[in-house]
Amino acid sequence: MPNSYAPQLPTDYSYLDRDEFRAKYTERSGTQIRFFVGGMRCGKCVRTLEQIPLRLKGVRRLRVELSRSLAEAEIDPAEISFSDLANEIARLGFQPIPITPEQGADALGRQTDRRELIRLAIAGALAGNIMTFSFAAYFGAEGEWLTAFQWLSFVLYLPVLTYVAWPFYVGAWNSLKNKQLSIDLPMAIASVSGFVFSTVQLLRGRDDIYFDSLSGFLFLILAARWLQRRMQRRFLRPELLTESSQLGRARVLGENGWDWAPTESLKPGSEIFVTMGESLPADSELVTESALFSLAWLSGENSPRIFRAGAMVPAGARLVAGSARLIAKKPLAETGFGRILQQAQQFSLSENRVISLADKWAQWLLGIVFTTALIFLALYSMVSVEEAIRRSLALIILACPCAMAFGTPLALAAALRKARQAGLIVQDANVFENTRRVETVFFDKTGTLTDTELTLREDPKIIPEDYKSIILGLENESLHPIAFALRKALADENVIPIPLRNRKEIPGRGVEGSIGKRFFELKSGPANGYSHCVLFENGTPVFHFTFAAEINRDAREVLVDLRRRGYRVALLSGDKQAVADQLSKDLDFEFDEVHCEVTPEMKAEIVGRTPKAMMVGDGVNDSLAMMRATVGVAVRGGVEAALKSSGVYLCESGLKGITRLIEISEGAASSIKTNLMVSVIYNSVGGALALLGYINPLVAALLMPASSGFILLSTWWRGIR
Amino acid sequence: MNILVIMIPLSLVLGFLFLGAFIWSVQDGQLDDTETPPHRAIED
Repeated sequence: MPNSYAPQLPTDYSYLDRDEFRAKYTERSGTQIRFFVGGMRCGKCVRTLEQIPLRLKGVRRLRVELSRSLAEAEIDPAEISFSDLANEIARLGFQPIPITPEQGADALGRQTDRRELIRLAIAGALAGNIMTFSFAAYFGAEGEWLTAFQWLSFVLYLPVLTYVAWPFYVGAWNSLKNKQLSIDLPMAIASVSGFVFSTVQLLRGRDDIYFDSLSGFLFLILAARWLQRRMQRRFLRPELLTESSQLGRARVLGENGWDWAPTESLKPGSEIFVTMGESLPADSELVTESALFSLAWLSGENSPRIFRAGAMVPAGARLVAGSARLIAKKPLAETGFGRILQQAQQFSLSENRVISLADKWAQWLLGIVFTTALIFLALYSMVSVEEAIRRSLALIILACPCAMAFGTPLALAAALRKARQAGLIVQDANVFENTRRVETVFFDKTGTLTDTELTLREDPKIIPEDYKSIILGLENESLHPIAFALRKALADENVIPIPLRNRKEIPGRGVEGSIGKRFFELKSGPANGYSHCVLFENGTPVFHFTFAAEINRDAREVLVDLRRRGYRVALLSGDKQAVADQLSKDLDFEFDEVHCEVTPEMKAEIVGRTPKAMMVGDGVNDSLAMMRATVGVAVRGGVEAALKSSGVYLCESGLKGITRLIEISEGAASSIKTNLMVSVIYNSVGGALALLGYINPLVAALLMPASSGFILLSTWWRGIR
Repeated sequence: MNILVIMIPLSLVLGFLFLGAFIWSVQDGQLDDTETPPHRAIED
């Protein structure tokens, strides 16, 4: 999450040793645990982590899975505790987040993976052998031998019919139940009717037997589906895990003082305690006199807000400074934030709906093929029933829309994978299709083209050394945006903060403290276009600081690139015209359209009026506009809005993701187009030949893998580039 | 041609032996993670 109050996971792992948490997170009678390990990137990390059992006595086993950042550990509870292990992982520079067995199983989906891989292996072995026996027939086997080979094929096809093709029957049944045509339907029909027809022909001593091409194409489709599964593997989103694992526990006042307890056990009226960086596990009433909470997760707004004693603070609010005591009023599960979190988690674990688009096109083609086959069957039955069945069957087998069945999903899955590598979270594959239609790109100003973080505008060199130390001493522990800006400005100056006596942060006002008789205050002054703050010594102002939001570092490059590609580039801003003009000047870029002083509703209205618009903005205050746009791209903001209103979420700061999204969409589209063209040509030629009776088992056996192979290869080739 | 009476069952038996070995390796979990093991080998 690109926000300045990024989850700082508290390093107190002692809760892991409490029974309630052990029951929740561990497996195998409390000896095994799984962590999501943040910060794991390379082979070196694998080695560092997997050597823990050598150093730490009592850790029996630790295995790492790099691609999903998971570590699975088994310990001897008599010798070591889970918190020791977590502390060790943290000490090595990683962020361990315990995950529950359900989360782990969902993310891994190992059982299904294994089952499908075995099915694929069996399909391949059977198809390969059946194919070999048929080739004997094509190359001149005769008499007894031919019959023997045909019966062997028949026997080998039995497990294909029952076991290998099973998922297609299930899919076909479901599609019939939902009254929809799906790609599974022709597979199921071909598998069964092909078997019946071929068996009848075998018994009659004919040689038009389709066991080889049937098993071959079922294998190919299974292979494509398996590849697709691999490409769109489920993935865990660390920021959601962090949040939910932190919210899974709370410090509650019990009989023996403060102690960790699972959030589920929190009752209205329980007294809870949070420290800096932690989020509230319940809607609660503040007991502490005043406290500063960031609502970034809820509203996307970065500036923290002050709450005073007695105020209701919503669950999910993160404490920005110090610590606070509260009384829980409404448990997490019943709060809006709890529900959002749950939804978000489900989303992070669900597969992308990649097939929808492909299905739409495949249904058309399937409809055409089935109608043609049925009409042909009815008409030709008057000439010869056997020939009618044979030819329409050949048509169904041959004209199965393979390009759509796996070419399109593969192309889209490859695009999704590329997008993920580029740091884009794409909600569903239709985004790629929509992106290609975009003509106008709207940019929000604050938080999108400019930073929401503040930067000191004055040169820090004008401040005398001792004042620098005092400023740092005052601001060192604060999480206020101004404190960040001051620390950032003084970071290169090698300043050592001076500890101040009675240092106090007064939420909403500033910080104060004293050295000897000198009393210092740092207060935010009246806002005058820029954020502003003043350092006072014994009540007299000494220095004025002004702060401004910096322009996003690759904003100009992306804007120029978009114009070069022929897009209209527009600016939407809640600020005054002067501010927008200044931005345009700073960027050295003339926008095609500028709308100033617009409210979120007006933004939505403008975007909604423009056909084929892309809205790039903040997760929250632009969510209305993003929903009305053809494609909504969220640059930052709360999970809630980002998930609901936009199709794309940029994980990395910077706007480069937008041009990357356009490139990926174009790549996927051209890949799909090639597949479609090949498929249409193949289907019309093959279909015509089948109906005219030119397709014998040999031709079908050659044409099927040739066309599928071509589509697989071309998609794969484009996918890796 | 009589040699085929031996060769064909033999080829089937061999083929399905390898299929069995593959199925065993999948169920054993050897193919669950194909990315981390290369790193282990290189870093050792």
